Amino acid sequence: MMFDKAVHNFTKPKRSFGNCKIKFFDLQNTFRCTLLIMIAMFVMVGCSKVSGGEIEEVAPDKEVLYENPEFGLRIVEIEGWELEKETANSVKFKKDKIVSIITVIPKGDTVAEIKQGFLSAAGSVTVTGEGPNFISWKSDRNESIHTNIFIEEKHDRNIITTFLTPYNDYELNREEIEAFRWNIETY
Amino acid sequence: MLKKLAVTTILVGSLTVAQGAFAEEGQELEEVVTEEVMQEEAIGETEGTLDESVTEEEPKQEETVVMTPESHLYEAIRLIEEAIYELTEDAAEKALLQDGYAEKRLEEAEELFEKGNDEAAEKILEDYEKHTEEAEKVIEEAEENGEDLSDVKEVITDNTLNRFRNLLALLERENLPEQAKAGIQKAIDNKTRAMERSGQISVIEEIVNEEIVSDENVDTNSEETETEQQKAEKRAEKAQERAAKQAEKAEQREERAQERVEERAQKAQERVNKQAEKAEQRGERAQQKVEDRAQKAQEKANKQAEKANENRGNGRP
Repeated sequence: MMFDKAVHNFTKPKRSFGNCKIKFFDLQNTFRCTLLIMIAMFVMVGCSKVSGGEIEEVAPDKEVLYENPEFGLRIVEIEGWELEKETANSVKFKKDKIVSIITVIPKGDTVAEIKQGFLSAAGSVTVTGEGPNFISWKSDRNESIHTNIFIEEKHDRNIITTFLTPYNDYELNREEIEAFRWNIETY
Repeated sequence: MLKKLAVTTILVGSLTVAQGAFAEEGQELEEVVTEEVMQEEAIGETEGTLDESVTEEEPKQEETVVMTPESHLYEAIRLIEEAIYELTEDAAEKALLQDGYAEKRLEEAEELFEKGNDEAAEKILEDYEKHTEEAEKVIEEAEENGEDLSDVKEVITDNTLNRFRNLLALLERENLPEQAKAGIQKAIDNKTRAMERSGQISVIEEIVNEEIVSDENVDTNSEETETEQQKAEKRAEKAQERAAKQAEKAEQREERAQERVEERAQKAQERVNKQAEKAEQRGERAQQKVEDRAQKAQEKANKQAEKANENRGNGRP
């Protein structure tokens, strides 16, 4: 009943200019609109599937600092950052007093388990922030180091990005960390 | 009726498209959420307030789990350690960090030996040695630069000796394969050499003796059962054997060093003798040449005199 009323309100003449009533939705128009929307839908879904299945190409104006198709990882060039080391499942970058480590591990452990693993290995620390896919802490030492860990879940793997910087320089380096994060592309 | 159908189709279609779009953007949304968390964290830190799940004053007391190379996170953890060490500037802190890493490596090696992964354990023991060496190096360099790290040095020496005891205890494990024992023995030998170099061999000897005494104590206290006593005896014997081996090795090392010194001296003497012999030969050759030349000159002079006499006899001027 309510539905009928809604349809009626939707299709009834909305405005009248004097004696002349204008119908916004007559039967023919409705079919045309429906067809157009459906076609648009198919096109959108089709396009998204094509782009999702392939390695996205980097824009021609962007230089690549690091790329590893095995990891499904690309870092767009960013001033001052340098590749320092690469191991079987990790890659380490550095800029002045900031270190970034990107680790790709197979799906298995939950995000909570990953956080717990890092935290227990970190020793004596104070947690300074935590979110669903994020944790940060500072070491309880005279020269404290701040650690940020971001965990990105993909369907077949987890990508863990770690940033380390002296705690005293953290506020100063926050923008640099953010900028580097935005230059990390996963596919 | 047709109108109803059309409108229903539009509604369903819109929902489908919206769902698809959000699924594609899921990752971005997640990132935005994380960003928000980071922003919240920033606010929390600057304003002195914290997230509900965070306790600033009381650090989380997490259960200590020994992470081994069998874990996917291990490489990242080691890289994090490396980065922390690089970012730390103070020599005392650096030395203490390396000492802590050495402690972790030993725990990991013990865990790996326990699991039967001897190959990985031996590799970790090598890393353990590298950490202890690095700690010593940092202290040495700092002291050369005039820093006083005596307190840190004391702490590190105590920790190192405790770990040396752990290594000795690890060597005693009965289920350990020979190869693993060789790896542990190597670590013990290296430590002994390092202590020898730093003039602290007496400390190592003390520890080994302590081990023997403690084993003997175990022996006297465990007279309740025959098997326990036997075990204690075995341990004492082993400790004794180890001490004897250590002494023997030290003696062998000394002998080898002495032999090397003697060899070097002998070689040096031989070299000197050879050089003297060569010099003598050179002298003789030179003398011979001089004599040859003198003889030739004499012969030449004689010939010339003979010619002169002949010319005079023929009436030539």
